[in-house]
Amino acid sequence: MRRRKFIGMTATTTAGLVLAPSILKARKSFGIIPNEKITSLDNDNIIIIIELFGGNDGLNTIIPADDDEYYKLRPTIGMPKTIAIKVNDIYMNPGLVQGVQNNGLQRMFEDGRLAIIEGIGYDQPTLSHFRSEDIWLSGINPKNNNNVKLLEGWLGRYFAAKLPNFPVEIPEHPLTIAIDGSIPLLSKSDKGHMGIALTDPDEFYKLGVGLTPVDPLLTGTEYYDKEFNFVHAIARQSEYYSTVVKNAYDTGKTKINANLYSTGGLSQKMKLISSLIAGGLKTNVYFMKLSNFDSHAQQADASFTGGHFTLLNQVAKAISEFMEDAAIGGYSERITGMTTSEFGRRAYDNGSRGTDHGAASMQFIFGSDKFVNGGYWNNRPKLTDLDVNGNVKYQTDYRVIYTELLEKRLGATPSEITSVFGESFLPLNVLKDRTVSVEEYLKPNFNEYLRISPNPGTGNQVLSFELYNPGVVNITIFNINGKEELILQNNYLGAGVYEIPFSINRSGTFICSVAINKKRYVSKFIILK
Amino acid sequence: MKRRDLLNLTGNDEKLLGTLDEYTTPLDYAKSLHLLRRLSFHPAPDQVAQFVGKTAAEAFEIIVGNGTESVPEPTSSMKSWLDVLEEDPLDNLPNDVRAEIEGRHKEHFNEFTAWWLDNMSSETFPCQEKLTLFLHSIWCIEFAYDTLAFLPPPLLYRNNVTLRKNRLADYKTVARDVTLDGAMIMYQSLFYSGKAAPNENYMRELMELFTMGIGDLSTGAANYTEGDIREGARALTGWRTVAYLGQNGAPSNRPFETFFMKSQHDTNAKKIMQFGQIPAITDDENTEDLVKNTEVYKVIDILFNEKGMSIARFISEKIFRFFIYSDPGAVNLTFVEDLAQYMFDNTFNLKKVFKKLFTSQFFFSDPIRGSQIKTPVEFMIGLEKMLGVDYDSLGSVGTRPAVSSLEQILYTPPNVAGWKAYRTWISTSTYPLRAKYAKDMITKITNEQIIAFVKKFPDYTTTTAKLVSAMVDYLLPLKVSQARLDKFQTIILNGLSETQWIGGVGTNNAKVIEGIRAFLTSAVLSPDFQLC
Repeated sequence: MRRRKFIGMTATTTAGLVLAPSILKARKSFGIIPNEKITSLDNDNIIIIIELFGGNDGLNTIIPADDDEYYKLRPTIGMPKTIAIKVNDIYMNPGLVQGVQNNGLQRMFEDGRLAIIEGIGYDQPTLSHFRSEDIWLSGINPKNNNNVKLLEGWLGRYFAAKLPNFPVEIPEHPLTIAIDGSIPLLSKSDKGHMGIALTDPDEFYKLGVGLTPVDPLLTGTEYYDKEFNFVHAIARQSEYYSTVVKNAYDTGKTKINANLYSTGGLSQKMKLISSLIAGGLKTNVYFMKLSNFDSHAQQADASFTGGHFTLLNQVAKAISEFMEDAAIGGYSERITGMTTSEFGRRAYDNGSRGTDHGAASMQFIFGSDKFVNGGYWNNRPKLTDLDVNGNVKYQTDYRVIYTELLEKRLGATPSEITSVFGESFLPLNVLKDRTVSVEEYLKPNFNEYLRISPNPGTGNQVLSFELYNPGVVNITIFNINGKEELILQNNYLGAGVYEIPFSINRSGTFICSVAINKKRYVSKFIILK
Repeated sequence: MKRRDLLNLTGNDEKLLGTLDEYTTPLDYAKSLHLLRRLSFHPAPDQVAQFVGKTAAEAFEIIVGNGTESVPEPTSSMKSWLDVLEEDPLDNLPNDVRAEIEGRHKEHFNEFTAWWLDNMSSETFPCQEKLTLFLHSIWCIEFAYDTLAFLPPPLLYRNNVTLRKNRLADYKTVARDVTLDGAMIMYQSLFYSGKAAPNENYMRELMELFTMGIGDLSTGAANYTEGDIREGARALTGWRTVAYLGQNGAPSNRPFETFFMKSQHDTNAKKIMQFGQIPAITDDENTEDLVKNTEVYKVIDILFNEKGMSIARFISEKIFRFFIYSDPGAVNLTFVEDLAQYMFDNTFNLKKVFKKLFTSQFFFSDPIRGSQIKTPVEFMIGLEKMLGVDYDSLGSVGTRPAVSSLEQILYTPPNVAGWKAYRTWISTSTYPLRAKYAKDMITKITNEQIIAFVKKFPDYTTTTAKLVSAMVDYLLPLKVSQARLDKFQTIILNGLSETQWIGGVGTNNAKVIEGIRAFLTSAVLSPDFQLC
C-alpha cells in the first residue's frame, strides 16, 4: 500500500475508533452522576486537608521536653517544660491551646479526637519546599530523581479512575474543593482537574454566570469537534458548579454557628467549608493551605510566643472551632481531618532564633472519637540519631496515612491504592472504618486469621491461612515504616487452606497483610538473623 | 457554505493527510487566517487581506522574514537595568538587603515579561514572537530556579535575544548558543560544575528534553546512557556567567557574559556514545576559545552526528504539538517521520523545516484547522489584536497579570520540561477567568473602538447577515452552522430593523453599539473561541 493512502486511512479510522464512545455519550446528553453513584464513593465521608506550607517545626509543636538532647540542640528556642503544656504524657506548644475554643487541641487529644503521628516523612528527603510539597501532594517519591515530573495529585489520580467519561460526564457535586486561588496539584489528573478551587462562593458564582454555551455539542469526529466539545464541557461545568456551590453556600451559611469562628484566615475558610457541608454539598475532600511556616529566623521570642506560636494558634482555632460547629451541626462523625507539611525543621537551631529545612516531622489527624484512634503514634523523635543533614529520620511513610484515608474513607481497594502510588503501604490503624458490614474472607484458627511461623524466625517463613470466601488475594509483606517489602501474591485464589513459604534476608519487624476486596488482615512477625 | 458541506468536500484532502507536498492553491481568507494564527498570533482584522491570493510559500516569507531582523527595542526602564549587576542576594547579606535586591529582580522580571507580551500584540510582519516562544517552550528557563534563587532578569533578557536570533537557524546552532547562554548556565547548574564535581543536570536535560529524548521516537531504543551523561558533563565543566556584583573570579567589564574558569575544567579525555571521542587537552589548550570549540561544540556535534535522526524526530514531534495539534495521543507519526527526515536532510535548518510545514497540504487540510486550544498567551494577545486595544490601557487587570492568572507565566514554566499545554490550559478555574477578561475588554473599550472594529469589515454597509458572517469568519476558527449565524444576527440587531441598523452604524447609534457588544460577548463565550 502506498504511504499516502495508508495515512489517509489511519487518520480517519483511528479517529473514528477512538472517539466513538465519548462522542456517542456526548451526543446523547451531558451526564451528571450523583456522587453516591460513583463507585466506592457511596458514603458521606469528608476529608479536610490543611497544608502547613513552609515546613512546620514539629519539634516545637509537640515538644520532646523529657529529652535533654532537645535542649542541647536548641539552646535558644528549646521550649522549657514550664512553658509547654503537658497533656497526658506529651508536651504541646501553648499555641495549640491558649485562647482556643475549649482549650483547643489539648481537649481534643484528651477526648481521643486527635491523633498525633510522629516521624512522618519519606526516603531520601529533599530540602526544597516546592519539590517536597509536590512529593506530598502527588503521593510519588521520586527519591532525588529530579527528572520525574510530578504533574498529578494522589487524589486526582484516584478520582480520575472513578470517572471514565470525564469531562463529558461529571459528578453532581465537585469531588474536591480547594479553598484557594488555584487548583492544587493534589486534585490534578491527566483527564483534567478532579475538583474546583474557590475562595468566595459569591465571586465564583458571578464568574460562572452565563458560561454555559448556548450552542449544542458537535457530533463530528474531527479534532475540532473533539476540542469544541471539551471546552463546551468545561464551560458548562464552570457555571454548573458555580451554581451548585452558591446554592449550598446560601442554604448552609444560615445553618452553621457562625459566631464560633474567629477572624483568622484559616478559621474563615473552615467556616466556608462548614457552610458548604451544612448546605448539603457532597464534596469528599476540602483542601486549604496556610503559609509562612518557613521559620528560619525569630520563630519564637523570649517568652516563646511569636511567629510559630501564632501560626499554630490559627491552626488550633480553625480545627477546634470547626469541630465544635460540626458537632452541633451533627456531622462531626463524617469528618476526618489531617495536617500536612512538606517537611519538619532541622533538629538544632540556627543561631537566628530559627531553624532550617528539615525532614521527618509530625502530623495531626482529627475527627470524632468514634472513628479516629486518638493518641500519640510512633516513637518519640530520636534526637541522637539524625540524618547527615541533622534532620529527624522518618518512621512512617506519609503515604501510609493516605492509604488509610483511601481505604477507610474513600472506599479504595488495595490494588486501586497501589495504582495510585505505584507501590503499596500498610495502614497504621489511626482511623477506624465507618462501615462495619465488610464481609469476612478468612476463617480464624485459634483466634488467629493469619499465622506466620516460626515467629520470631530466621528468615525462612511460612504464612498459613484458611480462605473460605474466594476472591483476588493480595498478600504483601511490609516493613515497620509501612513500606512494601515483598509481594507474595496478587491473584485469584479459590477456597482452601494455604501455606505459602517466603524468605526475608534481613532482621527486623515486619507485617504481613492479606487483603481481599476491601478487607485486610494483618499479622506482625520478627526476623532475627 | 455550511460546515457540513465543507466536511463533504474533505474526501480528497483526507487522503493527502500526512504529506509534505506543497499546498500551491492561492490562499483564501480562511486559510490566510489559519496560517497567521498558527505562525503568529490572531492577526488584526486588516492584517489578513494582504495574504489572500498569495501562495502559502509567498505568505510564509512575508510572515517570518529571514531571521536577521532586529530585536525589538527594550523599554527605557529596561535599559536602565539591563547592564547593571547586583550583589548575590543569597550571599550572606542582611535580610533587608536581600529583600531589596530580590524585590528589584521581581520588578524587572515583570517589566521584561510585559515587554515580551507587548511585542507580541504589536508585532507586524516579518514577525518573530511565536517562533521565539516555541524555542522558549523547549529550552525552558525559570526565573525562580532551584526554588530559592532568582535568575537576574538581565540574563533572562539576553536568553530571549539568543532565542530570537536563532529562531530560524539550524537547530544545532540553537543548541550551541543556548548551552553557553548565561541564564541556562545558571538555571541548569553548569554554574556550579567543576572538575572535582561535574554537575550532570544540564547534560541530562540537553539530551532528554532539549534534543533527543530518552528513547528514539520511532524505534524506542535508548538514546543515551548514564555514562554519556557523566562524560558529557565533564566536557561542560568550567563555564560561568557574570551574574553578580563582586562575583568571585568573574572578569570585569563583562556583565552578564559567559566566561571560562580553566581551573574548573576537566582536561581529561571523554568518550560520549559510540564514536564520540574528545581527547585530553594540555594546559595551553585549556582556554575559553579552544575549549568552546573542542569540547562544548564538540559535545553537540557528537549528539547530532550520532543521534541525528532521533533529534530530528524528537524536535519534529515538538513542532507538531506546538504548531499543529497538541493532543499527545494524536501525533501523526508518519508526518513527524517525514518532517524529521526533511530536517535531517537539511542541516536541521528551522527556516526550511517551518517553511516545509507551513506550506504543506497537511497543514492546510481540514482536520488541522481549528483544532488547537489557545494557550493563555494566544488567547490574550489574540483578543488585544482583534479589538485593537492594549489590555494594560483599560485600567483593569492588565495583560501580564491576566496571562499569569491563566497559568502561563513566561519564563516561569512549571518545571524544566515546560508547560504541559493542551487541555491543561482550560479548567473550571481558568475558563471563567478567560471569559471574564474577554468580557471585560469588550465592556471597557470605547464606543468609537466598537464602531471602528465593525468598520474593518466592508459588509457593514451591505447587510447584517453578511457582516455577521464575515465577523464570525474572522473571530472563530471555522465556519459555523446557519443556525448559529442566525442567532448571532438576532443578537447584533438588538431589536432594530435591518435598515435602522445599517444606517445606525454611521451615526454611532447607541442600540447598534449595544448590539455589537452583545454579539462580541456571545462570540467570545462560544466554545470555538478557545480554539484556533
